[in-house]
Amino acid sequence: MKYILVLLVVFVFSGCTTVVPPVTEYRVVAKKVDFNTNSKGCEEKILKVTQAFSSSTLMSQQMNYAQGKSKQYSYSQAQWSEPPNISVSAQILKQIRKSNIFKSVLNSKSRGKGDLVLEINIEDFMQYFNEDESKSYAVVTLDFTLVDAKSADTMASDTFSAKVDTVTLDAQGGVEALNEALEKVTKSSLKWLDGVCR
Amino acid sequence: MNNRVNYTLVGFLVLFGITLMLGFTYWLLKPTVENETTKYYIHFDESVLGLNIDSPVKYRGITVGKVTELKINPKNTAQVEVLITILKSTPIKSDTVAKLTSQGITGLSYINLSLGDNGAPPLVAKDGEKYPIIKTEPSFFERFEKSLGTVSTKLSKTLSGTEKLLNDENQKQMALILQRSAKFMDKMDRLLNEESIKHFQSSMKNLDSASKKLDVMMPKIDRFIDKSMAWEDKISGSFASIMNSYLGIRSAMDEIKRAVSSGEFNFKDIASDVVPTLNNTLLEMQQLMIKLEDTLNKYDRSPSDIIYKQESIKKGPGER
Repeated sequence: MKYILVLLVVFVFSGCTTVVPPVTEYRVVAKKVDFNTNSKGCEEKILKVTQAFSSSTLMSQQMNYAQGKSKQYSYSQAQWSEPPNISVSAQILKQIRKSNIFKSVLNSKSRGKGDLVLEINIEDFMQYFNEDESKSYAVVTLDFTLVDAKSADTMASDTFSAKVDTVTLDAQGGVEALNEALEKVTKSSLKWLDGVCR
Repeated sequence: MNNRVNYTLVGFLVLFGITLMLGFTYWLLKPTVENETTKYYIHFDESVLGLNIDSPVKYRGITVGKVTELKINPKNTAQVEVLITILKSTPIKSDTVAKLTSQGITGLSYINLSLGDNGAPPLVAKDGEKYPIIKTEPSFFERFEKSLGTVSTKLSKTLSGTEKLLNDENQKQMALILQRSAKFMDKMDRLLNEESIKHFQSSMKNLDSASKKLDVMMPKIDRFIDKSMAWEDKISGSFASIMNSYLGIRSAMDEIKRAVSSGEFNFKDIASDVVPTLNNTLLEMQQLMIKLEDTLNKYDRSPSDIIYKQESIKKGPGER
């Protein structure tokens, strides 16, 4: 009797469960930025890059897109491999480290103490569709603030933005456009840091 | 009858008789007590009116001698030098004092000797003095006269002071004071009319009433003070307890301070390990909270999705 009941329950639950489509995870990967530093002002300084501030939607793995002027949805078959605020911070850190503007670049989890702190605020990081989903583009807008770690004084602050049209009208096209836009913003931010350290 | 008279014998007898008579007279007139008396000088600074030769010299009322000579002291003309002859047995000591004393109303005077200290040495003549000199003290009249003079001087000064006090200006001031006193008294008289006295009596009654109430209140106040004292004792005990606590905290703080100073308890080292780990944990917790919020939002929209997936899936662009 016991076995019959267990089989019945398994049958009922398995028969009524909706089949969820497979989900594809995407990573934020900015292409290699070609940048040669000209400044010497920060070559002896250590920079610590904090984890980017953002809205809570960018702190989850859900991949959102906007439709029209005010609608926002999530892709059902696509999601981020890690929250965009973490991946954006990691990509920017990677590019700054490669630029050799600073002696060393630390991430937010490091126990090391930096001379300067770079705060990043993600204002926008999303794929946009028009109302009939016939056209799409991606927008990346980041605020950068360079802070002196000892005095906590703000040394410089600026906002960079990039807009890139998607090749395909789907999640993959959006990810590619976002990566390209992030590359542009990263390049602008490196130029800005180089100017600050000049 | 034999008429043959021996005239030589008679003459001899007569001469012998005269000699005997002369000898007897001399014996009678001779001061037989010369060897039993002694002489002293007394120098008086006052008048010796009433004192004559042979005036008695008394010792404690007993006549012990007499005045033998009276004259002005050739060495000091302000003094009268009196030579007295008194019995040797009279105890004249170095501090014996002679005093001129009046003898009743006759105007005669005598010298009264007073005994000094019984243990004092006898009075003896100094070098250059023929007889010892007895000290003197002023007579009653002399002292009276001096006292009178002093009294007179003081009286004179008093009168002079009184005269100064009662000069015209002071008299005017006195008159003014009296006038004001009269006004004051008049005002007091008006002030102390019947109504005022009634008021005063009423005030006194009120005071009496207040005093009675105070008498009633005093025991309560005493009880209050007793309770206050008890409360104060309790508070004092509490303060002592607080003080002990404070001392304990202070001791603990001293121990912590010592541990920190010696490096046993280094906040910086501890914090350098803990803070980054804590920071990372908090970040991960933040991620977890966001995921939890997403899940809750999802099941808030469709609670039955927990068992049966009922919410329809909105497919995104390019999704099949």
